[in-house]
Amino acid sequence: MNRFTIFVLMASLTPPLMAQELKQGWVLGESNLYKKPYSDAEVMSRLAADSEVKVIKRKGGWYQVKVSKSRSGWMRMNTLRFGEQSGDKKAGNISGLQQTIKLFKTGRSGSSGVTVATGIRGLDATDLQNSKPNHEALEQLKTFSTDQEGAKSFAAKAKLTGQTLAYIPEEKPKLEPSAPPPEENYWGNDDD
Amino acid sequence: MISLLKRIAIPFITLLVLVSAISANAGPFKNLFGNDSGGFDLGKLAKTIKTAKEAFGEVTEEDEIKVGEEAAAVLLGAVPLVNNDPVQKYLNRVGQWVALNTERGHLPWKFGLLESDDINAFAAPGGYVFVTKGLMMQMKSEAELASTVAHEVVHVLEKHHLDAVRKGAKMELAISMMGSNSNEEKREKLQRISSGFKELYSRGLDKADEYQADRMGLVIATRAGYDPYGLPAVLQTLEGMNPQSQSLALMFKTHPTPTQRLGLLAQYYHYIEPFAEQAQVTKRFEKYLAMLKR
Repeated sequence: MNRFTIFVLMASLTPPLMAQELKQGWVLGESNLYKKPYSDAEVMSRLAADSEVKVIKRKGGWYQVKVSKSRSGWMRMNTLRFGEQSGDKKAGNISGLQQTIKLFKTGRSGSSGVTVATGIRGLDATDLQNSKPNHEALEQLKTFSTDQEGAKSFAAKAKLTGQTLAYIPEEKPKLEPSAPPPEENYWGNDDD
Repeated sequence: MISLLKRIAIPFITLLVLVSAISANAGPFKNLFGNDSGGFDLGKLAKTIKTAKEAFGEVTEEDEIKVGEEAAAVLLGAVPLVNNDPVQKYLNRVGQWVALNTERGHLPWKFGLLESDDINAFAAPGGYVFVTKGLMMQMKSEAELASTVAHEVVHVLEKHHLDAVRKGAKMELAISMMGSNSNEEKREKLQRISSGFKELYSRGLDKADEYQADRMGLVIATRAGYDPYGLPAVLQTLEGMNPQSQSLALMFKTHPTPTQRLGLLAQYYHYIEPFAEQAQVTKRFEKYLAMLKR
């Protein structure tokens, strides 16, 4: 057994002991860094737009973030964004649009439902179009279900208590002017 | 001629729909209507009721569930279930608890984890909800899983898929005649239904339906006692991923962008903020997540 083999063996046996890498985020617009996750908590500093932070954890609508080796604090959830900044510092301002454009460009267009040798199992439009309805799997699925009592005791174990809260009335979305009107004509085109 | 018929028919049919709604809760009547065995009046009544239901968009819950089975079978024909009973049962407990906090808790809810690295989730009429393994592995807590399930549950509550496939007139006919006798006929109808769902799942719902599912799902997860920011957290994770990733392609094609969805949800945070201290339930979630990563 040579040194190289030993090295390979060691490498494959050693579990990844590194602490889990903190997720990178960046600040959307100039935002407060708070000492605690409350809006009336002390403001430690202002973070400039596009500043990079590392996200430690989330608590409700707040993220605890690391802004430097020794400094951390809390930020409102919606003042942060995850992902690569892709070199372009201005990316944040247009990335919603960019994303949409990319989407149109890349929309998988059903060209390949073939799984490549990487072992990645996808699920695209072609897979769905070519589906042969699988009733056996459906029967198997039914065996996993639980009854209402089972669900209640499961919830109780995690101390989850049901709350009373009405649905939120719809505010007319400003983002989607193109929602189609509901179909009023119940008689449809059957008459024609 | 047709418009005259409509004028007479509408009030009459409205009455019949009422009658049929009452009869739906009364077993004997239902059989009587359905079997054509109640003499000339009832027989004719039964036929007219069927037409009325078609016209007014009523599908019995029984048929809704049958249609949903076909839809679920389509999904399961495209991608298998994850072969891990404990995780499947875990998902069903989370899902059933979420569903219990809605107005349709009585449905025969079934939840399935799909063996795919793609990031997506699906619903089918009558109480079927599916989440891909790829999506679950992006999550950090049971609250996030519950919020995703809650979004799908709304599609079932609001019959989004059922209504979408019924927009095709032929499909309407197929569904309204689910209970027909001949096997040949039945098979043809089921096939028509499954091809409707193949199309729908690859095309997606109206964006308005997705926004509604987000808005109501936010509330349902909160009602179930979970940290109410689970859904925004999932969407932020998706927002941070490379939008060109193949694993996001179908979901991005069939949904508004995460950024758009987060923008809409942000308007509603003040509703859920009083519940911000509710549990994320991370330990239990991590235990099952570890089983998937093995």
